[in-house]
Amino acid sequence: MPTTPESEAADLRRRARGSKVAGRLLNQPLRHLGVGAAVVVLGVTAVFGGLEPADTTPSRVAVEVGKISTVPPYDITIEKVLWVDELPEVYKTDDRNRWLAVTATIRNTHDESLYDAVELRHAVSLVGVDGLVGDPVRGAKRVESTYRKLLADSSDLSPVQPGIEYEMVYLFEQDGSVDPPDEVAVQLVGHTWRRDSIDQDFKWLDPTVIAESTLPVRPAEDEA
Amino acid sequence: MSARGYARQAGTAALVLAALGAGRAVTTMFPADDSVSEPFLRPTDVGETVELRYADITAAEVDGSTRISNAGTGLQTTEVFLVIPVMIEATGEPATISYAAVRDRDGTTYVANGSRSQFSPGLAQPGLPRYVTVTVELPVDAVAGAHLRVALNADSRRDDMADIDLGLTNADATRWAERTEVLTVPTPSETPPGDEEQS
Repeated sequence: MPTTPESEAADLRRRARGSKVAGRLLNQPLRHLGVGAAVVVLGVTAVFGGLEPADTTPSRVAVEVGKISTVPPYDITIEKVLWVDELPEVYKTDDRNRWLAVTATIRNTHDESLYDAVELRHAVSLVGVDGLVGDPVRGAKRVESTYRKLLADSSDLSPVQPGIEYEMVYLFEQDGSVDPPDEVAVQLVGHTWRRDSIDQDFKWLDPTVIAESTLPVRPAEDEA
Repeated sequence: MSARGYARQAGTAALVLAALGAGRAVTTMFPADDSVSEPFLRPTDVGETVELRYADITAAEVDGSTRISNAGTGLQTTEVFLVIPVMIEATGEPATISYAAVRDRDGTTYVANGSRSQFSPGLAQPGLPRYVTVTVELPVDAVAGAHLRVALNADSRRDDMADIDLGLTNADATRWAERTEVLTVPTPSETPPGDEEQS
C-alpha cells in the first residue's frame, strides 16, 4: 500500500510509544538533533585521536630566479623560462605546437633515492597559460609538465639520487595556434613525509603549492 | 524495543568504542619497533661469496666513470657512476634478484632502479651462475667506504640481504670523477664477461 510522509510519521510515533527515549527524540526540533549528532561525532573522533589539525601552512613564498626554493623532498632553483618550436628526442602531439621550457636545478634532499618520482612531476607546474595541451591537476588550476629531461644527456631523470644537483628542464607543450606567452606563473609544489593511512608505509604525500611567481618567457633563439 | 533493549544496545556500542579506543591507545603508546623486521644483513667483501637464503652473491672489482653506455643509451653525470659486476647463483629454485643499492658511510641509500641507475639481472637458475651488473649514480663524496646491498626484493623484511664492502677510497672517487671514458655496461649473461670477449 503506498505511504505518505504523514502516515510514515504517524507510524513512527506509534512504534516509539513504547520508548520514552525514542519518543523524546522524535519530538525534538531538527536543529537540536543536528547539534546532538555533531557532539556524538566529535566525541567519537576524540577517542581515535581527534580530527586532523587545520592546515597552518604559511602563505606561499615567491619563486626567485637563480635562488634555491625549499620544496620537499627537493631543493629547486629555477634558472629561466624559454619557448622553443623543436627539441631533439621529445615528441609533441602536433607538429605545429611548441614547448615552454622551465630550466631548473633539482637536488633530492631525502636520504634515499626517489624513483617512479611522482614528486618530481608535481614539483614544477604552470598556471593560467593559454593553450597548454596537458590537463590541469584535479581540483587545481596548475598544469604539470609533459617531459622532464636532463640537460646533459636528454635522459629521463629516474631515479633521482640524493645529494646530486641535476640540471634539467621541465617541458610543457603549448598549442601552436596560441601566441607564446611573455610571462608565465610558475608554481613549486612540495610534499610531506608521513605514513600512508592505507598501507602505513612512510611516503611523500599531500602535494601543496609552496612557492609561486610570474616569470618572464623568452624565445630560445635569443639564448643562442 | 523496550528501554532495556535500548540500554543493552547502547552498552554494546559503548563496549565496541571502548575496545577500539583501547587499541588506539596501545598502538600510540607502544609503536611497533621496525628494527625487529629489518633484513638480516650478511656482510662480505669484494671477491668473496656470501650465501643468502635464495642465492649465492659475489661482487667483483668495481669500476667508475662520469660516462656509461647502458643498452646503447649514453649517460653522463656531474658526479660518478659506479659499475659493479655481480655473480648470482640461485640456490634451490630459480630466483629473480630485484634489489640492489649502494649505501654510503652516512647511511644514505642510492637505489639501482630506473634508467640512470640500473639493476636488471633477469632470472637466475639454480647451479647456473649469472653474471650481471649494477650501475649506480652517486655523489663523488659518497664513494669512499660505500657498501653494495643486494636482496631478493626491495621489501626484504626478515629476509637475507648481502652487505658487500666495496673497498673504495677517496682516491678512487677522485679518479673516477675526472674520468670521461665511456664504460660499456655488459648485458646479463650466463657467460663470464672475460669469456664473452674471447668468443
